[in-house]
Amino acid sequence: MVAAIHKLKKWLTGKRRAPEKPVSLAPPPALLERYRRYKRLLAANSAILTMVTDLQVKMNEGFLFDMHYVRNACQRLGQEVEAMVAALAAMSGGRYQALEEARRLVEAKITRELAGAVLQPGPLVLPLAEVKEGQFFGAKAEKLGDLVRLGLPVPKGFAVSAYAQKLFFEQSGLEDFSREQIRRSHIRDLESLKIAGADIKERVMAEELPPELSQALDQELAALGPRVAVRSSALQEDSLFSFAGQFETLLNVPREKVKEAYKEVLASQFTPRVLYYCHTSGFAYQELAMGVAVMEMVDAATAGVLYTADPRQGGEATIINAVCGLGSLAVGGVVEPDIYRVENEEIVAREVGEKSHMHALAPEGGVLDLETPPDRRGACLDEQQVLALHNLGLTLEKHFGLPQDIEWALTTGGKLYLLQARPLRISRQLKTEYLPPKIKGAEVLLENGTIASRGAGAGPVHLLADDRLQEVPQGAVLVTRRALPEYGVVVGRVAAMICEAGSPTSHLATVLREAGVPAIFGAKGAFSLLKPGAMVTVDAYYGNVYAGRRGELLKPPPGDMVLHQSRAWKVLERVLKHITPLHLLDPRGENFRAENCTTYHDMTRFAHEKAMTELFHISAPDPEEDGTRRLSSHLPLEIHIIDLGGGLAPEAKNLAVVKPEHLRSRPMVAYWRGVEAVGWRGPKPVDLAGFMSVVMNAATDVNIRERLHEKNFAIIAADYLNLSNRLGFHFATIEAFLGVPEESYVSLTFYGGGAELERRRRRVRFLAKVLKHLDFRVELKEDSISGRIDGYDAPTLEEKLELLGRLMMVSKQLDMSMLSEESVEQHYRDFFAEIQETKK
Amino acid sequence: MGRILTVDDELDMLALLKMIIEGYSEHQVTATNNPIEAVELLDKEPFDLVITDLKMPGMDGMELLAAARKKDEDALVMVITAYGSLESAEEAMAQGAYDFITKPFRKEQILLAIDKAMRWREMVRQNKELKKRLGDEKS
Repeated sequence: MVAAIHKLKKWLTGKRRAPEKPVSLAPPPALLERYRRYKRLLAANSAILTMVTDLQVKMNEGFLFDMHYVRNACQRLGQEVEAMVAALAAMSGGRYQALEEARRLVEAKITRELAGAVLQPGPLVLPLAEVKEGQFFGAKAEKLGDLVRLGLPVPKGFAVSAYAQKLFFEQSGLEDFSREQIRRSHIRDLESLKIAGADIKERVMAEELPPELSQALDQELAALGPRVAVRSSALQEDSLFSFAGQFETLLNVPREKVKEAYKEVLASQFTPRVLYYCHTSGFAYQELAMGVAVMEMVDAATAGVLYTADPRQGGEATIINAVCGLGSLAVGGVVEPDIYRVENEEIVAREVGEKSHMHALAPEGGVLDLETPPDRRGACLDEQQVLALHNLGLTLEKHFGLPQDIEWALTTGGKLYLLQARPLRISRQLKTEYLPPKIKGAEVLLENGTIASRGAGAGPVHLLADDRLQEVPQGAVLVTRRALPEYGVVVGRVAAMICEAGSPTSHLATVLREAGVPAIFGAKGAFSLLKPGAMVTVDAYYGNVYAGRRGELLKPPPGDMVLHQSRAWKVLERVLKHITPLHLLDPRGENFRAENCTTYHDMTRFAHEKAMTELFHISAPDPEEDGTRRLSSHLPLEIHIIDLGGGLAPEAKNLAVVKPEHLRSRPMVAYWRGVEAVGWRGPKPVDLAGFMSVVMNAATDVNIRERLHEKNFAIIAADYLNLSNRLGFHFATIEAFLGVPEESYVSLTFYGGGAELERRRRRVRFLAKVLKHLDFRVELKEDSISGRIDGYDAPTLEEKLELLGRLMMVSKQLDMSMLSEESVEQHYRDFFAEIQETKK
Repeated sequence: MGRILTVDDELDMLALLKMIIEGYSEHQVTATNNPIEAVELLDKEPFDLVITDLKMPGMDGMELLAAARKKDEDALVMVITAYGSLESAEEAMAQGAYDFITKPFRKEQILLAIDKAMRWREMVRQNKELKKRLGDEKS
């Protein structure tokens, strides 16, 4: 018995001899490879989050960008996600196949969004009431369809789809002809483009329409009156309009000439500018195919346009321009129209224009330009008519949720018609958006953060304690120490968010921008400076937090309607739906699975999380002795070191035995500081029962000999530590990565021990108490514990590592002295008291 | 109020520039995607400022810059360059471009740059006039 105890004591405390056979000092290639994959994955992770941030900023902060930018950004992003998923697959020996499948699905969706809707075969002609978005009739016709279905007064009519043009061009050989003309023209010769355009037009007019289209037109026309208006309705009107100009609209067309008018409208798109475009990007129906709307001609006594808001100031006013006769003179400045301004159901301004000319229907078809008879030169709308128009405008604005730009006509009989409606482009002067960087006279509570999500919000301060997210009240300004992705679950509830740590490229920042929650990150001191319950205003335009509610900041920023109408913006908005949302908020959650990843953000988070797990397993099978060196210190600890790069000083390159001063691995150096601060104290004085429990357990454990001979391995790199620690009878693994805050973490698992279960349990309860105090997230199970801390910057984590080093040395064989529950408390107090002591 | 000619083969950018400039300032924009036509337009009507992309098929922005400067030595040309191609921006400035702006840019950036260019144009005009008046007085 004495001999056994003596032997045991020697195992527990004594130095063991270093292996004598020569070893290679290069790290095992498999380990190194895994670590390199991890680093590649981290690089991809950081690149992805940076790119996603950039895309969100470009979309929401008033940038002008084109499709070229959107395509490039998506391509680069896609490559990094692919690299990240591949790196995880390689680290895990090909697991996570589901993640690669999820990635391909998302990639395909993004590709489809970027390509835009591909012109599909569909009905050639439909009555306006049946024309809906997505059927390729062009925006103008689709909007008219909406108006008809709303029961609003729209002249009877139908629309011809863009697909009908495609069919016409294919069947008649016009497609090949046009392509050939474009090919033969010269890009540097404007004249040749003009000639090509004229040739194509001539050929369009000469060709017969496909019989099925011709019949469909006849059928629809039979239901209409004798005269119609034929209007273009291009698929990409917004992009083309700026340079190609408005395409043809033909008024007062006799029914029998509609087919000709249809061809004329199609032909009107082949301008030199469009042909130059075709030259550079190919002849694409996608861009050019045109729908056409055919509506009964309204014999207007008065007509014009109506804006449901002031286009220059955006104020709440209805502005109506009116001319005598047809509306074709209401805009364009040829005649001076009447202008009416309605505010709060009252006409507040009325300017009667000169209206020297007017357009009227010509008996033979087309439009006559007449001198306005003297008796019609006065105001062309009475008060009742103005207010009726105003109300119609309000109905439309309410339905579409945006200010509208409406074309209208009034017959001699007093019947009102809507001819067209589209979103009104409201411009605002730059200076109205100006906010001062600091509000004069306001009390600034914080001004040291960076903007993670632009905007402003106000509410009572809520300091997040112990991650109890369920306690966050509605409308609060949430203040947290870290920017953990899990906090994303409260975005629907908070007015704004302030984090002491974190950066704009973190998962949480992306989620907050996605939800439009203003946020300031990296606001050091927020936890102590902001008082719970106090009303504050977060100014995430300039990065300030003010006391009280600052109304001037809280006005909703004027929406940038102009920018949001661009095709590139709309496409980016759609694409981002497959990129930015984060559904996998909590790694402990049920849904944290590869097959649940539906966005690039989900995948990035999932892959990063799993990569950490995979890297942790780096030490699972004990590395061979090759590639290891022994760390020799004054402590009776045998640690074998594997350096994956940058973990040791260059002068230690060829040393089989290294000293603590050779350590360069940031996390290892920090950890070792803690180890040395405590030093080797031997087992705590134990009572007989405790000691006996170790002996008895050891005696019944067949692996005791093996376990005591297990070595401690430290796999290190400049920024990494994975330490498998077998101190006495327990097993601990400490892992740390110190990079940017989003990548950095310290984790620990600890289990076992020599003493009886209850004492071991007490030890892990002691550990849990200390770790929680240090802000670790802790999970306990029997005599095992796992803890993890992240979301902090490297210097903070270095401090934690040092304390962890202390803790590991202090708790060595502590289980034996865990006599009662009181000892848990006692050791906890001792631990921090000792640290206080050292600080003094 | 000034007259601006914008030239870019990317239709979305062209549409946006026109919308932004006309929406947020008093300036009038003529837009074309074809630099060859731009040269022709410069012959037909006076523009206070030309805003052009650098990379375009058929004729690049540098060529257009040279053509504009040849027609009018005071022509103000602002070039739009792609992100990361600072050399081409420097080259354009060396060739007499008044300013450059890198894609993607914020609308405030382009509006302020236009504002600055217009004020410069006005100053140059006044300066010429004053010099001319001085010269007249002397003789």
